[in-house]
Amino acid sequence: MKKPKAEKAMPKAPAAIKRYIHYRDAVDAARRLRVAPDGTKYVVRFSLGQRVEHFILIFSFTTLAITGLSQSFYTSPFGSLILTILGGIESTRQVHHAAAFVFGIQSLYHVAVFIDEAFVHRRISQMFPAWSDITDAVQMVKFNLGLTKHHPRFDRYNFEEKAEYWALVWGTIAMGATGIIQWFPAQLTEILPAGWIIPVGRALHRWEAILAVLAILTWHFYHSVLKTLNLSIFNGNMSIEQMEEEHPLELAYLQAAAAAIHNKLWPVEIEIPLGHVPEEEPATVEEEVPMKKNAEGSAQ
Amino acid sequence: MKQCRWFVFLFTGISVLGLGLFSAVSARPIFAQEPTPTPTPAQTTVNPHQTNDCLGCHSNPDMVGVFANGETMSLYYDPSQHGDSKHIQDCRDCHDAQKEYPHNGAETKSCAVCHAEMFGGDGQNTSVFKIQTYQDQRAVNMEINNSCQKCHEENFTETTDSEHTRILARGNRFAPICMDCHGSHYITSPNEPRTNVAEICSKCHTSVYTTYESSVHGAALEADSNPDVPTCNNCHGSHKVAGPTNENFRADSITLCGNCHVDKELMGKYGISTNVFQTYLDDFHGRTVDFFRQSRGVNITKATCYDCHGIHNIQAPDNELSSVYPANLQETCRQCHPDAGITFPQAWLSHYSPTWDDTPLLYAVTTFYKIFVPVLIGGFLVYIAIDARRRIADKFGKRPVAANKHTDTNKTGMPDEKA
Repeated sequence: MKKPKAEKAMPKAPAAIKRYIHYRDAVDAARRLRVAPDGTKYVVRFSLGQRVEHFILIFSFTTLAITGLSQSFYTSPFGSLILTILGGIESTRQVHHAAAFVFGIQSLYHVAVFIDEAFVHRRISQMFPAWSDITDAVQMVKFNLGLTKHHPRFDRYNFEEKAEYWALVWGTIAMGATGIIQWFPAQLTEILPAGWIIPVGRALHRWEAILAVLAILTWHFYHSVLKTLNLSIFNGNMSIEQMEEEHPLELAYLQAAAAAIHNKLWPVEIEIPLGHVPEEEPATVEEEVPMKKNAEGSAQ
Repeated sequence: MKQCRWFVFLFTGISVLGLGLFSAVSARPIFAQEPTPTPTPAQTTVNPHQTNDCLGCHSNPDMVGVFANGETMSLYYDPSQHGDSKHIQDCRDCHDAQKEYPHNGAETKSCAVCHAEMFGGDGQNTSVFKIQTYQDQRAVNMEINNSCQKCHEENFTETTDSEHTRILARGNRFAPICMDCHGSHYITSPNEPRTNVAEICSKCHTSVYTTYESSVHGAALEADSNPDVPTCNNCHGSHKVAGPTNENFRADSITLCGNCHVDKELMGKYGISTNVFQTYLDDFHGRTVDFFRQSRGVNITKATCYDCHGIHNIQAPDNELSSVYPANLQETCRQCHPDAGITFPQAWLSHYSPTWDDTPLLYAVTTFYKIFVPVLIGGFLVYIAIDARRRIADKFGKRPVAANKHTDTNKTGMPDEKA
């Protein structure tokens, strides 16, 4: 968040900063850098739990989308085909409810994991949006249009992935709330102030579903399948080459942290590169940068 | 010459007589003569054995038949009943089984009507006949009813798929047949005046008729034979009468109501919205029911028009008696949603499309997404297109600037491998 200010203040912007890291984080980082039996280096990107979550998400989201949209567009050939295959609109609704239950449980589990990580293990997720995401996005478009020579350099999650994630969070809240309203209309109008929330819920559920499916089909499929086939969410791993290309800042942090462990120097100050490269040739950074400037940085 | 003149007179006389006799024999004499109140053999001018002069006997007002079960049936026919009916034809066209004389299986006494002297009678008390060939009058009616098919093939075939015929097939002989609704000898168009239809049905469906009479549709019909409102047959069909227990009747009922209620011209007269059908289909109930309607033969569990608005007792929504009158709405919802609270009926938008004034939040949500979804997805696509174009250009080396991408990262002093 301080970076634009830093750039404005100093013509010679730093390309890297130095900061102290926790020993525990360095150990975690070192564990994530691995070498396969055949000698290829890779990084562990997602844990088994996260991969299972994604599998459940694929299953329940797809089921919800197909059963839901076929109800919404029941006159279309595809919609009526699905409804017929599933044995009518009533049984399709039951399938929809079952998938919604799975989706809901999965979402609650995800929240539980977040709370556990944040308040028990004291690891703050790097998924939270930062100012750098905006500047990254602007620079990315400029780079793609040929307006700048520098490709933005991403940390653990780039702005595309963060947008995807937070859209899913919003979608889950919206779809969950409006879905429950439609599931138990009579009970909820007892609790909630007015009955018109039901039609509002219906409209929102329908539109949000269309939006979610279109977003997955365009944004998610392009970035994780078409652009470069990113299988890390399935096998948990990402090759060093792909890390260098897609998450260079995270890789740099991992390597610096692992090096500190290797040198057995503790407490240690590691050098972490910054995301933005100035237009002119970067000067080698000598001056000390206060730690607080990297508040959203690479703390694991 | 005198002889010749006499011959001419004789020839003329014979010719006149012969012509008269011929015309008397060849003409269908049924209605050619006035009915005679008390026919006697002397008054029967033509031999009934040859001419089928039905009225020779059946113009006797006292003539009755007695069935084995004691039921009596008048055998008198008054041709003036016919009025302007188009059915003034030969009796035998319909009374197929009676075209022979003496009638098939008729009591020999019938001979005594004319031939009293042969049976030792005095010509009195010749008007009561035992009918042995039929169980009762209903049997006669049902047999004659088949004759309708001769001319009205199409309508007759339609009735075979009617609820009435199914009841008949189940053994109820008093289920309606053609003549029960259309009458027998005096047959006119049944819907003139239009109130006639409901009155015909009311012969059996009395309680339904009473309810209908006080409904918004029925009252308008009764008041001035309003041609716009539905009467019995508009919903239930005429010959192919369908009942509410018919599996598709419920499914099709929505289009039944819809057919009139989307007609702008018709509804405009009464200031009724034509939006009702589409808003119903857009809603949860309508969507489900319409799907059920398309997959025939499924039991529909969701509300159709009449579940909320009422059937024969339907009233305008601003009538206190209407089941969709605001004060009655919760009770109506509770038919299916037993725990519906006081605010639950608001979930129903009263067939209005969402507007800013009525349902601001719904209108806002819908409008927001209608703009937001295309803009956002369009934005995604633009971003993807820009990104893809750059990547394709880089991959096939059309833009040398691509080479900078990774050299940048190496210039930052980032460690390439762990020390």
